[in-house]
Amino acid sequence: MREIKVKLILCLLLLSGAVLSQEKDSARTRHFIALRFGLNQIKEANLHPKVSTGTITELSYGFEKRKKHWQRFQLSFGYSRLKTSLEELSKSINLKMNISYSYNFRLVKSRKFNYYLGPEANLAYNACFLPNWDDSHLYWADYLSVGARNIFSVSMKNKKEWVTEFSIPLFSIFSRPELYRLYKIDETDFEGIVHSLNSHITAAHLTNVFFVHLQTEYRFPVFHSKTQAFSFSFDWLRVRHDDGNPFSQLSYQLGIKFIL
Amino acid sequence: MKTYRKYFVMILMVLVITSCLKDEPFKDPYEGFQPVSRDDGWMTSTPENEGMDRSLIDGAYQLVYKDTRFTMARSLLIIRNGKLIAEAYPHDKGDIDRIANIQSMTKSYTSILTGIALKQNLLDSVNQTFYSIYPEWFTSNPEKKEITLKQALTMTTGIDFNNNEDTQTLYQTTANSVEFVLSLPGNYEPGIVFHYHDGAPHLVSAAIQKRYGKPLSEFADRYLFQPLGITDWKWEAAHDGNTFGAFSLYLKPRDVAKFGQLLLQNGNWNGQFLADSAWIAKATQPIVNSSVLGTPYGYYFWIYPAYQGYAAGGHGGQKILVVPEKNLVIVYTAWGYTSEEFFDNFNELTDLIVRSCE
Repeated sequence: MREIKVKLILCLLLLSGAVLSQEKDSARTRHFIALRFGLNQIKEANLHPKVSTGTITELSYGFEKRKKHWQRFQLSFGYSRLKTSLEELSKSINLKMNISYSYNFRLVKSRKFNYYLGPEANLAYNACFLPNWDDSHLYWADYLSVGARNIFSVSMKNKKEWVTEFSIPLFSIFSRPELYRLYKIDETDFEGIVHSLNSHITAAHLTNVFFVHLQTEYRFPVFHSKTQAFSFSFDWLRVRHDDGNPFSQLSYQLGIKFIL
Repeated sequence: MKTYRKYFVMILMVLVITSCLKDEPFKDPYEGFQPVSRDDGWMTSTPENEGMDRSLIDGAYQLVYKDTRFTMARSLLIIRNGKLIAEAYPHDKGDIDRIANIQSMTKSYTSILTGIALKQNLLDSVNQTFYSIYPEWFTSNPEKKEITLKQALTMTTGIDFNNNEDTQTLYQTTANSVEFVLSLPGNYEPGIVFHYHDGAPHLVSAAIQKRYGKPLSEFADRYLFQPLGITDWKWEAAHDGNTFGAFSLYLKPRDVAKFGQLLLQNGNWNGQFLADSAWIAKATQPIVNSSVLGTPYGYYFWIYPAYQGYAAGGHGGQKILVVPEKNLVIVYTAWGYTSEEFFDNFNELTDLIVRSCE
């Protein structure tokens, strides 16, 4: 019951941001699509202490509104195949889905430099299947968090711009599998997977769910007022239940973004 | 601005170079194999006192701790002359007190429980058909009426049960689990072709349950676990309540060793025959040639003529090896959900231990 209440509060926060933005900000909504590639590492210590490494591909869609303040919604899907140093083939799979919304207030304004700070709500599903190590269970580290997003924007000549953002969570609820599970071959239908990914939900403090998202992108206009960007991002995530071992993830990605 | 950019690029480079997740060792450092004395029914001893070569035993433990083939090892216990002479828990010392899934070693427990059920006249004989025990579950599959207990015990039912797919369905089905096994195609005439699978022991488990009136797990608790002093265990069942006769029995390593010692003692435990010695003798003799490297198979036991012994075997390379001639029991448990990429060549390990017996 407590978890449902927490979820409701987070959803209300999310919605209030959207409503607030409609009242105050009449800037044009710009949609974007981004594609990112990079290196992905995970360590699922509930299973074993070895690092699984592989490449990751992530596709994002979102929109942003920006005038005095800067709000953004983003939906991302990531796919990665991984292996440990003990394996020959990358049989492990990591799937990610992330929905985030942030509303950032401009706190510093100058001719060339702007700084924005505001709340961000983030819902992340992060599931792994590591059949060489455990062909009977799904592993995951899911969370719903509210945190702070910082955006630094540097304007350059010819409408070029350099945008760097940094976000961390402040409060979260999260889900991790139990450390010792029965020989419960996880339900493999959609309903069963959704049930697993949302089970064992717990309220968290900073030491339970901690992530750092750091991204920098170089934006430049292309044609018909459209913008393109090249980006580099760094993500570090650690999710640990008090009764279990941590899930850690680290990824570096290079990306290209089309802002319409 | 250029200065800021330079600093920023430098910070990013430092992040890239320094931020990588670090591999950690799988196992604790090797600290020897001396067992600890506990009030759990086991007497402890040393290799020297039981006529064993310490250096060979040490070599076996070195293998388990350091060789990647034993990456997922959780315990190795050696019992000779009824005494625990060596044990170690490479992954976590706490595994000594932790029940874990012994996977298909469960089948050997089902075998011994079948012997107990026969002795108690709950079952008539190994030639009895399952149809005579639960005819109501053959309505849709009358062609399987002739399958006998013995054919199930020797994996020769002819039912085309594929562990890679059907075990999961058996686990998840909300319908009658016995009817599910019987509904699978019959590829061969019963009694001819060896086909190892999880379906046959489930039929056996259901037969005991039908005659006993309670699940196989409760039968095991009363006639096997309690007399052996095993109190911490778990045995999973299908949704319809039939205990899985093939897998998902959870035990502590020292309690697994008690089962091995019971077999070695021909069913005798502290002067009381818990299991039928004639059944143990029969179940642990070659009855069929298996399709697994031609290893002979008894009633849910793998037979190792080279050791003049027999074994219960489970996923992850788990084993209870009993070598009567050497008065020896070896228990190896491992993470039970691992692919075969991480377990093989158990023989190298057992060779060292068997050879250590003078």
